[in-house]
Amino acid sequence: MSGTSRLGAVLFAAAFVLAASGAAAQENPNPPPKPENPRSADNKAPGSGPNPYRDCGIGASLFSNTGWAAVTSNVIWDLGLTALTSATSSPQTCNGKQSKVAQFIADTYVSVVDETARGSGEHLTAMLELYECKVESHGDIVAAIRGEVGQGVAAPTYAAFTLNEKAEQYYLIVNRHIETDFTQSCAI
Amino acid sequence: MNLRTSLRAAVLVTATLSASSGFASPPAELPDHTRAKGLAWSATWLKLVHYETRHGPASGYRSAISTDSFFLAPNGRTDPAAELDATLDAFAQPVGSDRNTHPQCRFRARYLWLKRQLAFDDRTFAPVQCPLYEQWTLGGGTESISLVLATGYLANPASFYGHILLKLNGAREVRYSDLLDVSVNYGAIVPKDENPVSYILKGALGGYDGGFSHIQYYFHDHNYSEYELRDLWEYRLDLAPDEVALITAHAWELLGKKFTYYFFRQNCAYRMAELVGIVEGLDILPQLRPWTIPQSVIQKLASARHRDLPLLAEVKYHPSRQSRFHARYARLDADGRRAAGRILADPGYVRSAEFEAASPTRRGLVVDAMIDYYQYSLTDEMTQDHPLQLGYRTMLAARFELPPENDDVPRARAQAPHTGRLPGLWRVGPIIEDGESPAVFANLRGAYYDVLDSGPGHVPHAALIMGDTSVVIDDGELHLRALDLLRIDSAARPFSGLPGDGGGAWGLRLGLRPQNLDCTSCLVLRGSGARGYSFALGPHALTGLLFGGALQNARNGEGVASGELSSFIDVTENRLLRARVEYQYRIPVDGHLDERHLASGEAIAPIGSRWEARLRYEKHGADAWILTLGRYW
Repeated sequence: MSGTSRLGAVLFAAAFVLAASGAAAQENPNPPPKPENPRSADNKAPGSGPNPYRDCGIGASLFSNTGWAAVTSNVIWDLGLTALTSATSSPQTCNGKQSKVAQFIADTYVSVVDETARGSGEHLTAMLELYECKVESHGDIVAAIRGEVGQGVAAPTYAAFTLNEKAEQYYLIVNRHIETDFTQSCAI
Repeated sequence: MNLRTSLRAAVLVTATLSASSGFASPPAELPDHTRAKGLAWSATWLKLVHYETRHGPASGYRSAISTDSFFLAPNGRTDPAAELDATLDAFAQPVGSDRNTHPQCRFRARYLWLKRQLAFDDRTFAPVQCPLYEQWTLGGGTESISLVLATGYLANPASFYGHILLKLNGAREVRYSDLLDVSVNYGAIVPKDENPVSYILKGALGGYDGGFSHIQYYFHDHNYSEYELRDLWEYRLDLAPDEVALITAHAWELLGKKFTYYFFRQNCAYRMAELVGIVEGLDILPQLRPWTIPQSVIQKLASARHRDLPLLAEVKYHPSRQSRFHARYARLDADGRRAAGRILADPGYVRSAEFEAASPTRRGLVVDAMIDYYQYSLTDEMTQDHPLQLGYRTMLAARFELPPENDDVPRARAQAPHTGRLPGLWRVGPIIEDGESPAVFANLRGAYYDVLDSGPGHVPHAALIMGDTSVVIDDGELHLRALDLLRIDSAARPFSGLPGDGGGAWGLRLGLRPQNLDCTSCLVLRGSGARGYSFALGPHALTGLLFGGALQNARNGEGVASGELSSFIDVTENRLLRARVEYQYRIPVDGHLDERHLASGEAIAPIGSRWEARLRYEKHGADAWILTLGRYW
């Protein structure tokens, strides 16, 4: 995919998300100063957090194709302590909860989206656990995102998305619903 | 005089004064030096520091760990007593700027064990809070330990025999999903661009470091399930809370520490059994063998008892994408399978009036099965316009349009690996070659299985054999008849009949074989490889056709290279009798071949779980009959 068509696909996806949610930016009579680098996590407005895929380098890269030797099994590439999921950091940093969710979605996207289509599954449970959502709210959250995720999958542009872009689209849908509709059920 | 000795002297003086003056009880005593010395030679301390018996060091021990930071005494690698002394001294160190680097945090298992053994309390050593360890263990929320076995994978030499990793199960009040549990893995540290030959040689001969790493379990679950299409079997151990804490703490101590990796013995299964064996009285490491097979560790675990109770608490099956597809496809009725075939020909069929006439539930069953089929069939090389990609997207979109259903994957068709037989086999019995008088035939196989005796935990319709040795004793003389250094046969039985679901076959062999059965003392070193196709013959049989070639050392005028055309018929679905017939035609590339046709037939009858009777006929010029009684070990 060329750079131009990729940019077009991303912009379309962003527009699609906004249109599907019906969200319209509410005018703020006292808008904050325009940040010098709007894409920098440090310049994001409080509570909005970074887009982990754009700002923190999240990508579905754990399962690299090493050719004939499996990436796991009896072979490990290094002994570096792998960062574990933690929900304790500030949501405005790239070590925050949302980045962990984004990484999980990027790493397990095919399972997450399959389970969303079916309506339940252990990957969905894990994802919502990362958000610290009460278990009794999981069904409602999945029901809330299912339609929108399905529309995204059915869109003609979906085929052209990379795995990372699909994961980002999914993440944005989930994150928005949780931040908007499930603040009482999840620890946002 | 070191700190501990000074403190001990102070304690003794204080105790004397308080006894004579009627003061309040003296402060808690420091760990008894004499008793601590004794502990240095206890089994648990030796395991905690991974000491192995060695002739060189004065102590008779040397640790298997090569990382310097694992030892607190300068000579701690070879002196258990010095290491224990240094550990006790280190626990009393003041806390620096980073409490996570304090020895009480770095050597958490040593701390827990010594605290219990020496009965020291918080007044003996001021306890240090270990934030990173607390985070790793979910604040002490690790409820149980599981060993997870990934079934064997013939496409990668490192994975032939399967793999074991450790899972620290969070309490379900803390963790809803075990995908986020911490998993601990042991493997060889291999450079990224290593070539296969170096990989095999170094792995076998200790040319790599090995080490423990950790990551959330979902990483392994996803890789095995989606990429390698391997089933996972989780074996949860029944352990007391303090035992779970000790194993967890020791896993923490080992992260980032290096061992020498040996593919055959000190491999993942060995180190995991060793790690769990840190608990007193718990031994799941198969002994008296030059190798450690993951399935053998699991079998020993499954039959072990601990504290007078079965050690095994629960077995959970985590099917791969392929296994989930097979289970879902098996659940479809004839109409469902017809619909699956129509979808494969045209994914748009899912939106046809005919398909939509079925109930949402019935449509969901078909679509779910096809989602698994497409995901299992996709490869990284397929672009988005590949028919399988299109089919997958169409099915996924269709599934979103159907109501959500709590679709549990149907029960596993596979049998748990711990129910399989033992890995080795010896056989003995009469052999009649070319009509001559009987001689004695004996065979010893270290591991692992052939097509006829494969079972739970093995790759179906496959053979994985290493070090298989056959001898003949005739007139008091012993002759080597054949030696299989390596033999792999793999035939994926077609399951659904859908394209790509089985139907491939391949083989790889290296060893000493007789040129033919006409000659004596005519062993040649022969390596061969072949690829082909397999086809189901009804529900009970499999047949295949393979094309390949071989190289051997020139002998008796025969050439070095030959082509091979092979075929087989296996009947292995019958529990009472399993049989295989093979035929091979060899085509000389150079020189000549005295005998071009090879044929064999073999049948085995299991006798209980540990014995078998086997009858084999082979013809390669002359012929031979071999009848053996065998025992698995």
